[in-house]
Amino acid sequence: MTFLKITSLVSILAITAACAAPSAQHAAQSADHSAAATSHGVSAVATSAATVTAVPVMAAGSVLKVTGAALEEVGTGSLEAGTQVFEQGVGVARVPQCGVVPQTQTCVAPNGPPRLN
Amino acid sequence: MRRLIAIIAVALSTLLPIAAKAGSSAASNPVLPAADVAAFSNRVQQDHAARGAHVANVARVGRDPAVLPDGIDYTHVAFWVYSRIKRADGSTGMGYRIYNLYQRDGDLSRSDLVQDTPADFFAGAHSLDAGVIIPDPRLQQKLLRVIASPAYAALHNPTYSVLANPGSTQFQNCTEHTLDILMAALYDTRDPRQIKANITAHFEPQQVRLNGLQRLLAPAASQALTTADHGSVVRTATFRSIARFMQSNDLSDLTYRMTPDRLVRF
Repeated sequence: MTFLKITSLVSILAITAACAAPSAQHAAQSADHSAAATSHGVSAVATSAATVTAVPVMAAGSVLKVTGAALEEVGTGSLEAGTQVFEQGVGVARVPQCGVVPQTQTCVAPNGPPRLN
Repeated sequence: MRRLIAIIAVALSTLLPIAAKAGSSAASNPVLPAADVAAFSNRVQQDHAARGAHVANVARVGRDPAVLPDGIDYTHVAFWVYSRIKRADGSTGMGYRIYNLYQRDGDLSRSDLVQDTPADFFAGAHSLDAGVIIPDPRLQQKLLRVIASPAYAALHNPTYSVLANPGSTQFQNCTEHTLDILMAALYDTRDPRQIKANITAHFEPQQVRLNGLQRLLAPAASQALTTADHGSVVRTATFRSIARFMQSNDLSDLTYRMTPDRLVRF
């Protein structure tokens, strides 16, 4: 019993690596690893030291290209891009327990379910 | 009583090193070969591009799944945004920039928003395994508008908790920030209270089973492990719970797992 409790605790705390920056784990292996180690913690939104600018684009067309400086400097993938995705079935949704999420924002009424149309 | 004290003492002595090292230790994690990381990173972004994804949600496995709680397989989630990139050496290209919320090195109870590269993203991985959600193209446009706006940073709460309650504004982790941005895009709102109200009404978080002793001890190991924002049951946002939310509301085009040799639909 004691062992189970400890093991369970360890498993929970193991996820303290969640959201950890590469610098906090092992970024030195990265082909382009200068970003997080030098920038995070300095400002609210930091950018990689190796990158001067990165501007999001909404280009036309259904197939985009990864080119030039955006490519990592080592190797290519073993599968072709856009490879067919195998079917495995959807994940099983866990049944939530009623009323377990505290209603912390009681003064704001929610909107309806999200719709894109 | 002596038995209880022994349990607590052993648990704390076991947990403290884990909590301490999780954010700063390189030695405690396996190191993936740089060439493999770079190749996999290229493969993921080329796959996104081939599918026409301007914005995707991507998750990585930061820890051995065997030690993670039931229902949690990915430990970090971020937006991958198709961008025009220019490097310091003047070279340019088109590819993906990663918009992360990372725990702060040296203070794991705080976080920062950090942009980095696909290889940076997977450099912290336990294995080359990506969870991918390609949002509906209409949602991608909405997401891009939020990500490129001041709202992206405004919706960041730097007070970090590993198990943050997504229905509360008290703490936030990378997955919750992702969910907040998603809700901001879906409902075209920047109001955190409205976002949390909608999350509480429409999003089903992943339950993490903890007993009273565990909840009592965890913050002693690290403030980032607090569950002070939860009621009697701990439930948090995860990659899978976001994927289920998007699938059940027809918000995603494709949800799949990518490894170096295959793609499998969730």
